[in-house]
Amino acid sequence: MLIYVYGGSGSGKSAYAEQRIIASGEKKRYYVATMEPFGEEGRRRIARHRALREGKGFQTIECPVCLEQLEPWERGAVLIEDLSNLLANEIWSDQGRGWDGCDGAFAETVADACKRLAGQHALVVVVGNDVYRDGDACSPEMERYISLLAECERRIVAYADEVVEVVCGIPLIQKGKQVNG
Amino acid sequence: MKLVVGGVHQGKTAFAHTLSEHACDDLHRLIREWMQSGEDLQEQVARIEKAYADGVITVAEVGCGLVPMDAFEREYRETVGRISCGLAAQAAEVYRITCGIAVRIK
Repeated sequence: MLIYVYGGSGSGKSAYAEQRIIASGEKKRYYVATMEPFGEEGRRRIARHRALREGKGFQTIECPVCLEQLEPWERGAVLIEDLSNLLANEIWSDQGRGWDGCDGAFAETVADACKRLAGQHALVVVVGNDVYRDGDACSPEMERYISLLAECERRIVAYADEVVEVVCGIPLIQKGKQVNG
Repeated sequence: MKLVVGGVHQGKTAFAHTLSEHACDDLHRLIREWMQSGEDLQEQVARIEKAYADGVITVAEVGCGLVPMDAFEREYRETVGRISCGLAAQAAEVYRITCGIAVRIK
């Protein structure tokens, strides 16, 4: 089962995603961490997420780039956090594939990796960010990033069994069984 | 307390006033002021919650864009989000307004 969870900054999407992992009842819980600890704020952010997960029995798998290269591991419930960081690392980090490697096929590579993981595990929850509602006043490079992020998202969503938007901690089902309205 | 959330200029205030005459409009603006003047956010939010326990609070969803370069702006949008999560958990009713259309989400 593949669930895509998205929301704005501070929307409660991480907490909701974790809740879904725990509610799955799977004993083995994995956290695929995409964030690289850049600077003090990055470290604080990671510490906050760690504190949230503490005592919930998550095993952390660091994966700043190349989600598709993760070797299979023991079946369980997997939380991947998050898509926007993964993509930013692929483009701008030293270990990433850079703009040249982030071509049209790349979005499908990412979506396919999510789908493959969902096939290996009982549950995969991918966390994404809603970065699309703050106007169009950004540089061409950022525009390109947003466009590629949206492309990855659409392809993951196409494979997802459920898509949930989180608003102020409240889940709004956008795809799946309990569609609102 | 009732909570009305949504993007800026979506019709939150007009809708909120149909719910109650007793409204705290644009809490995000207050949060910005409190952060700028170094107020105790928890204390201020508790005060507003108490004052509008039988009313309505509106707050903008300000975290749905690219992460800003400015550290204060990053902290601001995250803080508004977290405070909104807390208020939504306490609220009896939560509405989300988009293009003037209110959807009750709690």
